[in-house]
Amino acid sequence: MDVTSIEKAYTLIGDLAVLIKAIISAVADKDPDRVEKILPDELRTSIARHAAEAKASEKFG
Amino acid sequence: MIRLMAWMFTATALFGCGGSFASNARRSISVASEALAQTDRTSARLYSEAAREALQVSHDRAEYDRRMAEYNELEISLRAAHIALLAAQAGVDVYDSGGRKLDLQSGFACAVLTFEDIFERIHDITGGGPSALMNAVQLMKAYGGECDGRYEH
Repeated sequence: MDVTSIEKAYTLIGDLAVLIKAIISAVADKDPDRVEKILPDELRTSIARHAAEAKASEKFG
Repeated sequence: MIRLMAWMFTATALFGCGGSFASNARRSISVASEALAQTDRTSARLYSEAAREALQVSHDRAEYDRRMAEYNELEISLRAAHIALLAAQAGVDVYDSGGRKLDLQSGFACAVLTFEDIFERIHDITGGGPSALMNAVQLMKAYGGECDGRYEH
C-alpha cells in the first residue's frame, strides 16, 4: 500500500471514526478515560522505529 | 467545511453539556489522546512502509538515515505529544486538588504545540494532515495559556 492510499484511507475512515468514537465516549462518560488507558506506554511508531533500525543495523552494520 | 462542522459539533458536545472546568478539560484530554492514538497507528504504518523502501534502495547507513530523517522527526514529535498530554493531565489533577489554573493552562498550551508539530510533519510527508489532530488542537486551545517551553520541539 502506498503513502497516498494510506493517507486517503486514514482521512476518510480513520478521522471520522476516531472523532465519533471520542466524542461519544467523552460526552457519555462522566469520568473520561485517562491518557495512560488510551495510549500505550510505548507508541506504535516508536516500536516500528526500533524494528526498522534493528533491520538497518543488520544490513549496514 | 466538513472539518469546521466536525469541530463545531465536537465543541458543542463537549462544552455544551455542562460540567466543571476541570471535567471538561479531562474530556478534551481524552479526545486528544484518542486523536493521538489514531495518528500513531497511521504513522506506524507510514514509518514501516518508508523504512522498508529505504532499506531496499539505500547503499549505506548514512543514506538510510537521510531517507528516514523526516519519519524519525515525526516519531519524536509523537513522543513529545504523548508526554505533553500526560503533563496536561497532571495539570488537571493538580488543579482538581486545589492547584493553580495557570498550571493547567500551561499544560494544554504545550500539548497544542506538539500536536501542531505532528500535523505539520505528517503534512510534509503525505501532503495532507489528519483533521482529528486539528480538532483536538482547537479543543485544547480553548483553555488558553502559554507553554513554558518544556515540550517545544
